[in-house]
Amino acid sequence: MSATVAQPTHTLPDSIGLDAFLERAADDPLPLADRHRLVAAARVLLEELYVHLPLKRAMHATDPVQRLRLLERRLRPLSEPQFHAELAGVFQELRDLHTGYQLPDPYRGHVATLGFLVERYVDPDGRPHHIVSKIDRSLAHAGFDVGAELETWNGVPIERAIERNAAAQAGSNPDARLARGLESLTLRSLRTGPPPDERWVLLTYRTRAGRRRETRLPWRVRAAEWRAGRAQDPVPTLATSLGIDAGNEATRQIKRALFAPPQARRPSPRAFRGVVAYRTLRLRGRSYGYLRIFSFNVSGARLFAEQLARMVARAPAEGLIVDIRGNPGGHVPAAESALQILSGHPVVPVSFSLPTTRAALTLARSNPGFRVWSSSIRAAVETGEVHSQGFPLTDPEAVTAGLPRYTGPKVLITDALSYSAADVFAAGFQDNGLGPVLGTAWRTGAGGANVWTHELLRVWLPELLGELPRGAGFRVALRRATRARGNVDVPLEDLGVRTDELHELTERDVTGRNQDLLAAAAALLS
Amino acid sequence: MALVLRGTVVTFDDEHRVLDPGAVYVGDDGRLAAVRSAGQAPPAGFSDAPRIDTEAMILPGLIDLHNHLAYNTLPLWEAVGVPYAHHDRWVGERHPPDYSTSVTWPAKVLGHAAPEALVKYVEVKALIGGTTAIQGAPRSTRPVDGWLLRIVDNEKLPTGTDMVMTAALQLDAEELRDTRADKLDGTRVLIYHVAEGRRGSTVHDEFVELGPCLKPGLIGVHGTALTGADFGTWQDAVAAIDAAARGTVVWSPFSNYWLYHETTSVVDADRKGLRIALGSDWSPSGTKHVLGELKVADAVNQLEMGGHFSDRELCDMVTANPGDALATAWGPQVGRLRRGSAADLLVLDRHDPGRDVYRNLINATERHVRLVLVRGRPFYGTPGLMTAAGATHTDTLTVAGLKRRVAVRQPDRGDATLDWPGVKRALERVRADPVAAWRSAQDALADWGGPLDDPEAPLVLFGDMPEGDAGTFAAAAEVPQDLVVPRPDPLTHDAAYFAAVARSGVPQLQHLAEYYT
Repeated sequence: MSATVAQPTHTLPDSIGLDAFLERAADDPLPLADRHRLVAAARVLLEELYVHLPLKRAMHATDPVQRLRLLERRLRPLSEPQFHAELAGVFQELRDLHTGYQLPDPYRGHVATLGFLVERYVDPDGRPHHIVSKIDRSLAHAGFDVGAELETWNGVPIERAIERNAAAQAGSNPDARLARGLESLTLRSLRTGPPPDERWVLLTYRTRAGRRRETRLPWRVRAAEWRAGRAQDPVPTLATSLGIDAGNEATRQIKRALFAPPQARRPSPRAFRGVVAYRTLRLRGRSYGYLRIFSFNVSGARLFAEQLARMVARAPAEGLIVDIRGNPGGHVPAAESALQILSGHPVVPVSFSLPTTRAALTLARSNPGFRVWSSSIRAAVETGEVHSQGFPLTDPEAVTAGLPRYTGPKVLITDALSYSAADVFAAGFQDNGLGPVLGTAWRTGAGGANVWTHELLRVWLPELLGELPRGAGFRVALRRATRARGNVDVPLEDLGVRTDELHELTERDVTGRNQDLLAAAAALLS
Repeated sequence: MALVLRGTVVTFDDEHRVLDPGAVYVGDDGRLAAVRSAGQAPPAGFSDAPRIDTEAMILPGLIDLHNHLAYNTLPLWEAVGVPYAHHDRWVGERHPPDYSTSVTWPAKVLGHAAPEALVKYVEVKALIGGTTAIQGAPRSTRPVDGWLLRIVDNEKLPTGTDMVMTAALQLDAEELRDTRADKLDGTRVLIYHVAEGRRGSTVHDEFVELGPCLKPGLIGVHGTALTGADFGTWQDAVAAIDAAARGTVVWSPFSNYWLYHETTSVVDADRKGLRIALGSDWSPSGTKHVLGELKVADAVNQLEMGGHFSDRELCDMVTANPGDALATAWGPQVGRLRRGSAADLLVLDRHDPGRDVYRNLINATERHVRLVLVRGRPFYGTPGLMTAAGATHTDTLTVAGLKRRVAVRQPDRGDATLDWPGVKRALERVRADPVAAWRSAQDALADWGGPLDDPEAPLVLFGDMPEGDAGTFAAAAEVPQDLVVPRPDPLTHDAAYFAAVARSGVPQLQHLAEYYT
């Protein structure tokens, strides 16, 4: 190893230093009363409206409500960053990427990034490798470039560093946490979690030529999404049918802005070209369609289904590979309508249940769209059920009426970051018998809920939920998803979809164009 | 601006004085500085104020205590299943014209794609009938607290706090008992739909569940399934807390007869000591505004109730009674003209000088409304009176063949920018292509990741009535491809309206047309 520590000669474009950003945030701290309001709102949400609370208490031996009670008593001495970290930590313990604290301005709309991405593969001997897969061109230096292999992270062996980072992530199963741990090594949404503690990272790595070197890279902060001159979340505030990991959607979009080819960097966030792509592949002498669904974060189901139907109409009869890796979810009816486009038969959608709390009953009584849930919530006083009866959010066959379907053979590729509406899609793919599911991890991200914002809930529960300070917010899993057909009533939360086949990513997959993964998928089609 | 209106002042004060001629002194603060005989000296500060001799009656603005604004651009719904047993039955109507196609979907699309235009159109419709305060605000992503009218649900008088709770859909019994009842502490009101259906139907149970809330401050809407004994129970419970207090029943006779062929036993309610207020209810089963509803009440009173209520008592139902009911929550009085009251005023032609002021109000139509002031500001009236009252940014419209002016765009309101032509264009745009308008609205919503109270944030209105079988399709953020949004309901009780009433064959409603001939 070289005795000197390298560092990039340029800083990441359009970014500011983490220190400068945090100083700005510290200039105008939240008053104590606002902290109380936030903690009180968090308690109401978790106690009264969080549909997974019984499950999370059991599965993760956590008591978020008690933690919030304690936090209420201990607010005064906390510094600004400590307060945000504590409150975010309560939600992190839930292992639920749907449900989280959203930090106020100026955190909204910003991400911290090191300017490169790391991906992992396992070699034929079973040894994991961690490769720089993408890097902003301005940061490439001293052989630190695509293909460089990381060895240590701040002096910690890289595998262990990822494990430690994964433990701090909210992913609900080990695969999901590992995937999140890997991703958040270099990219963190400041809206959904506290900023990194360290201001820079010290890395040892091997260049593609095999030289061992060391470099120091600073954390930088970039605006993730702005509209009309305002910092925005990448996920709509006002959407009733969402199932999405808002933090991952933010990082997905910043990844796109940083690393996608120039022509694809600035699409409207919910434009179809940003969420879906199609091409035809030649593999082992045969042609297959390849449908890449990056996200279900779209505004409606019908137009999305129409777009998909046009795309897959071009797919060869030999088969279609559908790839939803990294898909953080989005519009649940859009995901289920997409399934319907891929099926010659009516697909059975997943069902959604509310908690049987008083607040959920008030919501079901006051929101006309929730009336169907009210009687079983009311009956819970006698039945003792913690979840209401389940009903689908939509009828995919009605939404896709008149559109052509792709009825040829199909295979679905998933990973541990396929989350929420993507979990719903994968479950529907499996339960409705559309084809095998090939995973790069054994399980999908395991987010099984419809998520609402505090602001949207306030429309229906103004007596219960107050205004929050400075654009702070919460997202909460409100309706729990359970599977259909052979897996009827099996929840998606924390379980996800177990894949039919596992393909561990190879070096060629990570540094190339997923050749081995696609070949494995094609093999399942033949 | 300070303003003096002179004319025949029908005060609806405690003595029901009529000052002829009288003068009403409107202060800069939107309240009445004085109500006096015209011969008396003006109060301090009014010697140089503009003075308008209206040569007409000056009354409190009318109060509509039962409506559902999100649906009020829709025409009468001529459902085939009438009479229904109760409110849960017509929601499930699937025979054409079915409920969700006729009511839910058009309102939903307009509430998403043209929310400001919808509310303003509905406000103008109410103004044309002399209304200055209306209940029935839709749920919305930010409060719509009255671009033109006072929206009762969202009004923040006097402390800046909303003291009015409303529920058009029934709350759970435990919520009523454990939460709402405690809040009826003499400072708040609860406007609550209860027992809407035919006598003997299951909705009577709603009254039983409402038991803990039978307190001062409760305003019960409909109560059509209630008996005289129920009204007695209600008033006794209220009086047990405050001997001087009265419960309030909101009566919507047109809607009751339209859907159930029965109406509330308001005579029994009155005999038991309850206060009666009127509400025109939503346009799918109601009158255009509370001035129209007053005529239905009058006809029903004469033909079905043996003239139990005097003309003055009927007029109290759209002025003093709802004003008193709201006084629990609001500081300044509405519905009565006296010093300190809200300057919500109606100037009305004394079109039948041979009859008293109350009969003139009952028989008045849209043609007779000459000026309407809300918070002391002119919003609607004849061109001459609007100019004299200092109205600016007005648009012309024709009402029952007469030229009127309306102030729809308030330059000081940053959250609402449409003028009257803009309102009509926005509604027409949705009507021309509802699916495209819906999708465009959905795109705007999907693109907004900021706070909902930001003036730039998309405004969305959510209906407060059941959805029927629209649910799963609606959850997909989709609308039926063949959706039709009807032409906005005309602003006045016109020939088409009366033709629909005639087709219904409901005897008690057939007399309404006679007031307009």
